[in-house]
Amino acid sequence: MAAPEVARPHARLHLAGFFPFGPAYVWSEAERDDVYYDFAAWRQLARSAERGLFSTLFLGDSQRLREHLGRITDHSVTGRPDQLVLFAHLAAVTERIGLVATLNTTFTDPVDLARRLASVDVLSGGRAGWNVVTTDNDWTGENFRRGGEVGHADRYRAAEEHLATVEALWAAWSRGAEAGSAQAPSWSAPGAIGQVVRSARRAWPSLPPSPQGQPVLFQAGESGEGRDFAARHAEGIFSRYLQFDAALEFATDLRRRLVRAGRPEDDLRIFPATRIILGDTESEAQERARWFRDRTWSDRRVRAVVEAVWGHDLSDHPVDGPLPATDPVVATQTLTHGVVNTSDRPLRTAAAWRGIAAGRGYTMRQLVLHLNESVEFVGTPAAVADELARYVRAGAIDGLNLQPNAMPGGFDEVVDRLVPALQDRGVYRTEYEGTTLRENLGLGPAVAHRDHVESA
Amino acid sequence: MDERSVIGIEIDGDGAHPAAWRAAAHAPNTLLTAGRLREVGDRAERAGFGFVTLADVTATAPGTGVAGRFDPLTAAAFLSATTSALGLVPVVHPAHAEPFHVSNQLSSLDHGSRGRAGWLVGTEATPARAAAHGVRHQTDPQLLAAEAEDVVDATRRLWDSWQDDAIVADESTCRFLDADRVHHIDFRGRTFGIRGPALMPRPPQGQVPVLAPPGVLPDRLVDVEIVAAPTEEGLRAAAARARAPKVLAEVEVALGPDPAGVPWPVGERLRHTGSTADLVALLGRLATVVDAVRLVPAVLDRDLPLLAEQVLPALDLRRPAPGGTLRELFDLPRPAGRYAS
Repeated sequence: MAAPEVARPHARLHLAGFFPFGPAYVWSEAERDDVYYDFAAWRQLARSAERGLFSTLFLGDSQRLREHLGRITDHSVTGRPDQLVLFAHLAAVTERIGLVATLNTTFTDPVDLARRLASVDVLSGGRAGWNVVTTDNDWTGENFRRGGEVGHADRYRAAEEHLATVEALWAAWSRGAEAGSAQAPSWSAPGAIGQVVRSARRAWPSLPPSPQGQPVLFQAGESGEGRDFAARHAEGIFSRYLQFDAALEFATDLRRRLVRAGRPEDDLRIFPATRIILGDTESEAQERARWFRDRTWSDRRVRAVVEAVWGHDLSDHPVDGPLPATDPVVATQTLTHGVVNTSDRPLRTAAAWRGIAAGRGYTMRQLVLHLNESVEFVGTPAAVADELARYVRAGAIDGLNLQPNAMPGGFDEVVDRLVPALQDRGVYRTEYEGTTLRENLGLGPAVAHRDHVESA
Repeated sequence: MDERSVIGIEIDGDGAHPAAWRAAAHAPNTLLTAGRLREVGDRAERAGFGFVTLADVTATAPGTGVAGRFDPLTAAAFLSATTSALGLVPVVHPAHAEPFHVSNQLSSLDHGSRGRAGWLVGTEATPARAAAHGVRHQTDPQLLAAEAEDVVDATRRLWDSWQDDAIVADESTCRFLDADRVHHIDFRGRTFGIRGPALMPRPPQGQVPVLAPPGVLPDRLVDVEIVAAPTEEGLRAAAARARAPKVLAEVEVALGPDPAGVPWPVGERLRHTGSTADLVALLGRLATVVDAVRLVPAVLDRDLPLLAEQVLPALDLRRPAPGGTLRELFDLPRPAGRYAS
């Protein structure tokens, strides 16, 4: 029996340049305070990633600025240009790299989203992707005329309906519908562009399919429901599982669900989020990782993580001291928003954190750093490349959603030092396989299109 | 009044004539491509146009003409990377629009173009638009006006929601933002309310210039009023009535015969047909009564080269400068934010 480490001896790693909504980088080192919002900086990042043969850029999303204890979160970079405006701009100055936007079904109109995303897909020559997310968050809904409240049980059904409407619009314009000559009887062939009647909407498509047919679909659900949604529709998944065993377990579970949904088990690419910090020696890499942590985990940011659970101001608690002795205020959800895990029960989280802190003798800062440290690869290019080769060949991951450590030069080190090491090991492309995102991810036609063909 | 004019051009499809595609210099199946969009942007910029507008109409059942278009704001975002001086003015219709999206998208376009974005406020409120959005068709003009006012007002408030000095990036206090300089707008209009703030810093122009026809919005929300009339006298009268800081006249141009013998239905706009010399004279006269003109060509591939070679060079133009903003081109000051202290 083959060892799990070599389950896929010829697999290759995909890198995605990943920006969560409000990334951590050392902003005090940047040339400009507003570099994160500057399109010239994004152009530089995108070109660097493309030079490094990254499969795609990938943006996370929120439709409301994060708030903490009733105020706009001020300790971190927050917000971002509109993803599709940014991607339409970058489509004009890049040639191969994918452009994956996280767009929320709860806060978008499917007809509008279908057209905007198709515009980016056509303008980029078939490089767009959509990370389909859904929220049942009326706090974010306060930014919208139509609000955002969707019952939790209805959430995936509503998302499924939204997605079906979007995909129906993308499919409603047949390839080759437009005339090849000005002498044709009409600009489009009769019947080649169809109307979509769905979700109480009657709409016509606006654009022909791009060279990749339709944008690649990503998904980020973690729950069983979310994983099943992914197994039915997604071609890529954004995960948080990066410790080897957890990553392999997640991948195995998803492949099982894929097969159950009638798809081949290699039909979906798994991208956990991470950071990579390199050094000439192991100790230099560790030193740089420590420097980065110290500079990005300011006292205020460390304290804010704890305050988000405790639900009140802890500025009189030194971050190098213990967790608060008092219990959290339970009504935190009205006080802190936009941070992952706010839906966890504060008392339970506090108890778990106290357990870790007591067991290891951690201060607040050490605890917060501990909670966040498992998601990084730190080491020499050779050591990190070896480790990543192990992950990929075992089938634990297909790619990495890689956060840059700086703006706008944050991918340069990986491109210049890690990519060649990965290529030496045969786990990374040496040129783009094609011109579309779908080709470069090694994917076939979209799931909806396959269904279409089978049922026709 | 500065008698130098700003001239812009509408670049939707192959032109405004229903059979324009038959006279286009490219095959129909290359219209909706990046290459074509880039080329049109380049030609407009090289010709000296101050701005391009990008029309929007909800897609309906295909007839014999062009059946598709890019999302205008997304197409403008593409052009923000391929041009360096041209103003980029997409149409966005307020009816059924989410101002939070509109605001962030136009603000992002302004950031991406370094201050070259404008907003042509559209008036589409058709049954087809309502059906595409899955909402009831609204015909009450008072409700439509209230909705348009609320959408534009909320959008403008969101643009101001980050003060110009909101980013402090102060490592000593561990603060990236000054939270006192980023504001919930807590907008309460007649038709809806929203909270804010916007997702990104104030646009480079402070407020993206808002271009709108008369009667669509209250004066306070309009930077450039778009006037149209079938005759030159009518256009002069409309310009005299305009109350916005700047006035833009719309002129349709057909510098050649109707393609395929298909007539171009006459609308509410002044139309120039015939010689380029007469057009130069017309635009010269209009320059004394309006600040800008938007040309709507019948056939883009035929009319744009003639405008570039024979019309624009003969006019005393305000031309956009690389690095300049659309406000600078229109001689509109950059407004202070409403929350500025």
